[in-house]
Parts: sequence; C-alpha cells; structure tokens
Amino acid sequence: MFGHRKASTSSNGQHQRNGSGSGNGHSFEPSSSSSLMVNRSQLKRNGLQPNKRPRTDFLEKLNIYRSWLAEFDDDEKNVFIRELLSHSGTSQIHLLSSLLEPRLHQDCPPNCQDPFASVPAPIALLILGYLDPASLCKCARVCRLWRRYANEPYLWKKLCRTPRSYRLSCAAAEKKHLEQFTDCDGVVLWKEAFSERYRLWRNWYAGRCVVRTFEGHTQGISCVQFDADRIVSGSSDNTIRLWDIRTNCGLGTMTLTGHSATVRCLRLDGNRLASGSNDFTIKVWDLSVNPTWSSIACRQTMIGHTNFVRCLQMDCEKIVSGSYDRVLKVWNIENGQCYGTLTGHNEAVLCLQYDGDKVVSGSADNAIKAWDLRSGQCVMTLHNAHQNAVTCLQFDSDRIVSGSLDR
Amino acid sequence: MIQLCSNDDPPVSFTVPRKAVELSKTIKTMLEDLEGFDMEQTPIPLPNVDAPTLELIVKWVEQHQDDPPPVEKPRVEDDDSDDSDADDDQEPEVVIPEWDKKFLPTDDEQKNQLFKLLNAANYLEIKPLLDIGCKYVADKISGQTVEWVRDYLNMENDYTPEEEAKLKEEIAWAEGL
Repeated sequence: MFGHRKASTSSNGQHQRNGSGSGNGHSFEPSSSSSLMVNRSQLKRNGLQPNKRPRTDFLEKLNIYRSWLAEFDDDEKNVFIRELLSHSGTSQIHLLSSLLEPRLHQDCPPNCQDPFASVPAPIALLILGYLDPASLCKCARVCRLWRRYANEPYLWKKLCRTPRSYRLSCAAAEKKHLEQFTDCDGVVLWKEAFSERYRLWRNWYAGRCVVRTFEGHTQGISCVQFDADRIVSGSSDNTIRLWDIRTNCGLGTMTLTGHSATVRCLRLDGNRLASGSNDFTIKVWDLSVNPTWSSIACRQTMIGHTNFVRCLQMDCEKIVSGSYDRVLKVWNIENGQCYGTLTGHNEAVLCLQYDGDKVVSGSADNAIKAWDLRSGQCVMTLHNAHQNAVTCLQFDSDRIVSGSLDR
Repeated sequence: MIQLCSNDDPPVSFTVPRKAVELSKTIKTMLEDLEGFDMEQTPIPLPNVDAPTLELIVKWVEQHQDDPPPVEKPRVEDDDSDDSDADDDQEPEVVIPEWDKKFLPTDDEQKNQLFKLLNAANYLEIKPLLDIGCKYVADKISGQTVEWVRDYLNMENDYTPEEEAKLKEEIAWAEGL
C-alpha cells in the first residue's frame, strides 16, 4: 500500500522504470506493441504494484484472457467468474469485497432491494411448491433468478409424486420411465421426467392422438397386439400381418401365412408371437427371422383342440389356451406338446388369464372358473357369474373383473 | 408474558403470552435454552422484524395459540433415490382458514407488507403462517400471465428477446391443456 502511494506520485504510468533498476527494462520500451503499453497503464490502474514489473508472459496471458472475455456471452462470463472465485485466496476475496462494495446494486433495477423482489430462496421455493406445472413454467419466464428457482429438481420430484395427477398406470411403469431420465451418475432428471409424463397425461385426457391407418387385410381383423415398435394383427383372411409403428408406411412389413382359417387370438412377447385360430391350431412364430422367409417364421404348431381356439396366454415356457371345445390346454412352447387339459366348462371357453399357477377362465356357460395349474384341477367356480357368456376378464391378487354379453 | 421488540429506533415492544410466542420455533428454542432466566423481565430483540410486521405476527400467534400442534413428520432427505415407498408421502394440502384470509395483508398496496410478514415468519420459524402465506401467493400467481406475475413480484425482465423466445419454446409442453 505504502509503495503504491509513493509510486503514483512519481509517475503517470506510461514509461515507468522500475526502481530495482534491473537491466531488462528495455523489454518494455515503446518497441513492444502499443496495446501492451495501454495494458501497463491499465495494470497500474488495476492495482499492480508499480515497483513490481510484470512478467512478459503475464501481459500476454492477460491479453489472451481479454480476447476470451470479448467473445464470451453473459452466461459464459458468469461461469468464468465462478471459476475465478473458486481459485481465489483470501487476498483476492478481500479485494473483490472492497471493489464490489460501492458497486453493489448499482446497475440493478430500482426495486431490487424491495422486500418483495428479494424473496429468500426458501420462501420462493415454498411458493413455487404450491403451483401447478403450467404456472411453475410461467414463473421460469419471469426472470433469471426465478428461473433458477423454478428449475429446482425438488419441485419437479414433488410434482412427479403428486397422488392421482400426472401418474403413469402403475409403479413399475413409472420406475421404467424414470430410468430413461436417470443419467449415468444415477441422478434423476425430475423436470425432464415430469414434462414427458405431463405430455402423455395431457394427450391422453385431451384425446390428442395421431390416427394412422394400416391397410392390407382382405377380411375383418379379429385381434391385435402391439409393442413399442410394431403392431400385429390377426384376420379372417387367415393371415397375420406385422406393421411398423415408427414409419408412416401403410403397408405391412411382414405377412405370416399358415393358418387355414380366421386367426382369432394373438400374444406378442418380444420376438415371439403365438396365434390361435379357427383351424383348431395354435402356432408359435419367430419374428426375428428374415422377413422374406416368412414361411419358416412358424416355429411350432400345436394340434389338439377340437374346435376354434378362442383365447391364449404365454410365457417363455408354456402356452395356456381356451377353445370352443370347452377345455383349456397347457402346452410346452419348445416342443409343442400338450401336457395338461383343464376340463369343467359346459360351453366354449372365451377368455382366460393366468398368473403363476393360477388360471381364471370365463365361458359361454356364464361361469367363471379358477384352476390350479399344478394339479390341473378346478379350484373354484362362480356359477352364473353373469346372465350371459363371459367374454373378458382380468384378475389380480384380490379380485376378478369380468365383462359379459349380458351387458 | 414475554416481551418482543421490533428493530425500529426506538424499538416498539409487544407483550405476548408465552404460549402464543412459542408458535415461533426460533423463540421457543431460545426460551428453552435460557431456561432458568427470568424471561418475563427480558425483552427479546428481533433485529429482522419491524413494528408493523411484528404487530401482525403477534396478532396471528395470539389467534392461533390454542391450535393443536401440527404433526411433525421426519423430514425426508431429498436424495433423489427412487424410494418408491415414499411415493405418496405427500404433505397434506394447505387450506387457508377464514380468519387468516381476512388477516393476511392482501390488498395490492400491501404487497410489501405481505412479504415482510413471510420473511418474518421464515426467520421466526412459524411454519403454519409461512405455509398459508406462501399458499396465498401461489394461488394469486397461478393461472396468470408471465407479465402479470412479473409485475406482481416487482421483478425486472432480465432476459434478452432471443432468450425469451428460446425459453418459451423450451416450456411449450406446459402451455394449455
């Protein structure tokens, strides 16, 4: 400090020779570029001790930094300053504080000290926590500060967990969905996850959809299955067609021929497809096979039912099927052998579902039956569950929901 | 009775029943720490609260001193883990009671007073008051235009037109229903 004051009286900075009198002073003679000269006076204004001669490379580096700053936009400058701060010692922080003191709030809007404008973060977050997503997004547009608040992951996590609203169909679906929004460090991008969910939710409730028509079957379609990439359809024209969901191409990507009557039921699981038909058979197809060789896509034909195959379900080992012949059959998916027949219904079996060893079936005899796959026995019958044929059902751990022709 | 002093010069002091004052967690903790001292005789200075705001605070705590204490729930750490058990562990919805609706300084000229009150409630840790105040502001903001919110919050638009356009696009997913 003392040295600085002494020097500033002795020089206006342009051709300052340092007091140590070292012979290297000539490297700062006017022969160096004029921009360097300016820099030296600036440096002094910026507090470089005048009796401390700057290293040449320091000036060069300083110039490089200036050219950087000229290119940086506001955000980049802010990053740069943060970076600088993190590399600053106490001396630099002290300097910063004293430099900033008189300038604090100088260029801020007139009301920046307003108690309303300077809402502390905890209060702002509490307020934002009560907002619906659309209002929250609007707050992000108010100003940069509120945008930072509104991007707080905790708020979006909270929205993702609001009971009933913006939820996916089940916990498993939500978990899978969140995985897509988890980065490699395991951090969940709650805002992104929520916005995707919100879109789904909104489209669903607004009935917003894109209608795409796939044409190709020559007779009515009796059943469909789909996954993320494709739709599979079974038809009274005896064929099964595959359609690409991703392309707008209306033409089927593959046609599976083999059944000799209406294809009445389908199950798609990855590349494996099972079909039940009015030709009394069940076929298992491998969709990974080159589409041009469609005839060999059929891996297995299960023969045993004595009437139309109306419903089926499969896993990686077995197929359970229900038929107009009043029985359900259990098949080995690898060798196509029937290893179990569940008898008891007095009319056609129209629908079934199984989970583990438990099978529930609905029939044209108006009854619903539950079966144990291990024993092959009917364990429960709901006689006259409906006044007419039971055409569809679903069950979980504690209930069965069924639909019927009795309306 | 406990005496509270505002930060004005000279300070304005309010005498409040201890039970009411203890709705402020900050003061309650302090009183507990000073157990044994005669706090009836020692005014408590509140360096962050001015007289009009303190008057409101006192009014509110006196009105609510007989409320059943809120159920304390252990604060779940926000660890971003997929703790699906906590999925529906939501805070109950905040409803502003009738008396409080009339109590809150809700006229537009009283905006600053409202926020001073929230700041004070935050500082004094009077959570139920902070909750209803923030809920009130949230209800006020929700469904309004960006310009309205900016005006209400006395905020300056510090975006460039380009940034504004980009931001609008970024959050287009939340527009309309």
